[in-house]
Amino acid sequence: MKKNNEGNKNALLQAFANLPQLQFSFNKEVVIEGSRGVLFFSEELIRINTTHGRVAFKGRSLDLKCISPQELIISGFITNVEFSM
Amino acid sequence: MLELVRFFCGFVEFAIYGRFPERFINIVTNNGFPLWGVKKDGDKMYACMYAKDYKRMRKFAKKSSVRLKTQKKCGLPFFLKKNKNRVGVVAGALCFVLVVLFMSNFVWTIDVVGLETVSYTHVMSVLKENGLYVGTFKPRVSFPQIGRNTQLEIDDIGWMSVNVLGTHASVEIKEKSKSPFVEDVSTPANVKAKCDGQIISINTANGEALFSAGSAVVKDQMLVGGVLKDKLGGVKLVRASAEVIAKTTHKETFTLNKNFEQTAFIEGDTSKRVEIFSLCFPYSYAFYDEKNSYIKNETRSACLFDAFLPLRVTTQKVYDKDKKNVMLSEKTANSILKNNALLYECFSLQNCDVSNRDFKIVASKNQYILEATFNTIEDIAYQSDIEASRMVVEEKEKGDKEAK
Repeated sequence: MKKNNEGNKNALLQAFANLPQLQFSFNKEVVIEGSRGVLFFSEELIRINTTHGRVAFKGRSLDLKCISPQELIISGFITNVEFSM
Repeated sequence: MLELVRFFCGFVEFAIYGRFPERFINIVTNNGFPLWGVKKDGDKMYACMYAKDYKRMRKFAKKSSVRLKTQKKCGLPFFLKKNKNRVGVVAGALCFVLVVLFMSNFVWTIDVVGLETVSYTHVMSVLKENGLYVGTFKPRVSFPQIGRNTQLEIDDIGWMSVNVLGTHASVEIKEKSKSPFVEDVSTPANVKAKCDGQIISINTANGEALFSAGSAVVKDQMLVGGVLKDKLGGVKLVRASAEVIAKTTHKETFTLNKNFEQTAFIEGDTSKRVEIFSLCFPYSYAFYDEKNSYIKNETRSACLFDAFLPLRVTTQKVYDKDKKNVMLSEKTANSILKNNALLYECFSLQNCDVSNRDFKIVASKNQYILEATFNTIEDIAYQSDIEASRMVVEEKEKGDKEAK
């Protein structure tokens, strides 16, 4: 029983390991790991391409605080997040 | 920290013009060049990147059909480049940094906290002897050792610590707490008279009273005995205690020479000096005779936000001794002598109730003499310990004599 539980846990971790990670600091900042590039950028909307689909952040005074090949940080006043495949 | 790294490496803030600035951002980041501070303002987009990376952006801009325009160059490499012809400015900045680094190796201010009875001046002088003073070179001394040595030299310090933060040394002191007075209740004692007098009342708490009210006693006479005899003839030693109120008389003589040398201090020259760090710059001098003058030093330190700065102004005032031979008049001598007698009453007879005082002034050839008599009512009892061993020896000797 215990072994089964551990197996399930590992399987779950492996399944999540490849997914892009989004870490929010309330609606002020979001750190995205697993980004593949910026599709659209304006003060009201930022669309990001990730390994498993696209994410759109709507809000006010949005900017890209920092960008590296696989990570980026969006800061501003985020009001809406949309996921699309 | 990241901003500091960016400042030292140098970075460029630039604007991106064109139809697809997002494409440019993606190409740049995919090639491993970090970007930050990406903002959009109308058609333009702004971003920042390291100066060394910015030089390689031309081909990426061409590839993504955008134009780049430098907005601002920031950081140390640009500052140095801008000022490379201004050798003096760069040298001055370098000197400033070096001087700050060098000066931060010294102690410039000392603060002593926690003193109650120990003198601040004494603590500072002992600290100086042990190596902590304004201008101490920090790497050469051990501050815990200074603390230990100072604690050993000043007995009244129970605990101390020397904390150095930057160029400020804070000396924290906790003085020793004095042990409370514990009254001896076990040692056998008699109660004796501390001066001659006539007993008004005698209240015995412990022991056997040997006198009653109205009796006259002399100094050191036993008033209450600490040796009690029980019904079986045994002897019991106790610590006798009693309040013995008696009428007493105190006589005191005060003398004053008719001619005497009066010393007055007259304010003389003043000298001032400015102390910056451990350097001293005198800007006015005073000349004085060491034997016939005394000096008063006043130091004022510059203070900023409750922190003392290593900038002080010391004013040295010289007071010259002026000796005069004064001939006292009888009236002045009377008032001085009476004042002395009243001071004696205040301090020496503070536990007595003075019922009557009599002053008699006599003038001899060279002196005025005041004979003061104070009639007082006071407690004349004091406890005198019984030496048990001596008593045992005396009793043994007595027993031997009786046996013979």
